[in-house]
Amino acid sequence: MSDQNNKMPEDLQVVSNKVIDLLVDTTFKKHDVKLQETQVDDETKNQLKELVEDLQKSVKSLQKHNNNDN
Amino acid sequence: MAKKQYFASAPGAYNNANTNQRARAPKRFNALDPKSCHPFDDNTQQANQSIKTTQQSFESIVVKDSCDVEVTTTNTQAAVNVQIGLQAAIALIISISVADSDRAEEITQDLYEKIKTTQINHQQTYIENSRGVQVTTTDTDIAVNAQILLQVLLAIVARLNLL
Repeated sequence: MSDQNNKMPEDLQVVSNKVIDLLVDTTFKKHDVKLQETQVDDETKNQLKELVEDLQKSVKSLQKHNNNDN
Repeated sequence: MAKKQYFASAPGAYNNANTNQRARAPKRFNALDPKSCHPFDDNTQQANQSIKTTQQSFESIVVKDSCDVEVTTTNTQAAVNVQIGLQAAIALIISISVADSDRAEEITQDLYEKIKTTQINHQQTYIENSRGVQVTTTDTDIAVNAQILLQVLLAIVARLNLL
């Protein structure tokens, strides 16, 4: 299988990003979530940042792993 | 003599070699027999479990009348784990950001429902009467799904000004 099966082509990625932005925006609007209303302390912020970075790494390694296998 | 045996109605009338072969072959599923186990039964349980945890991946592998069959589905598992992690993170961040827990739950459900429709993956493998078969299933869709969930997570994080 080619890379394209695992990685989205660039034009599709742009569309997908837009769709997701719209999805998140409309969902937040529907539930009347005010942006930047969150008050979290710095420690939690750092923990969340690490979590997101770890997940980013996992997704990347997953894609690499799949590409190597095929 | 042989002809006479062939026409006899009792199964025991078949010659010895035939009877041995029959004994080794798996018993055919009989819907009317409560003790009879359907060939789908074993794998359906597994598929159900993965539907529960991810709501996205449906994998069914049936191996019938075969030997020396090797099935590997590890990549799907790794991908599912990443996906669960991402879903948990999305739920966590929304629950931190929205004070009302009922509303947080609703938002998370809403997001998942919308993503879910594009994420159902069916994978079915059927192996019958085969010997020495090696099957490796790589769920490439689920890797893309993980990417989509990551995008959703990043979009939420950016909007809520968390980082």
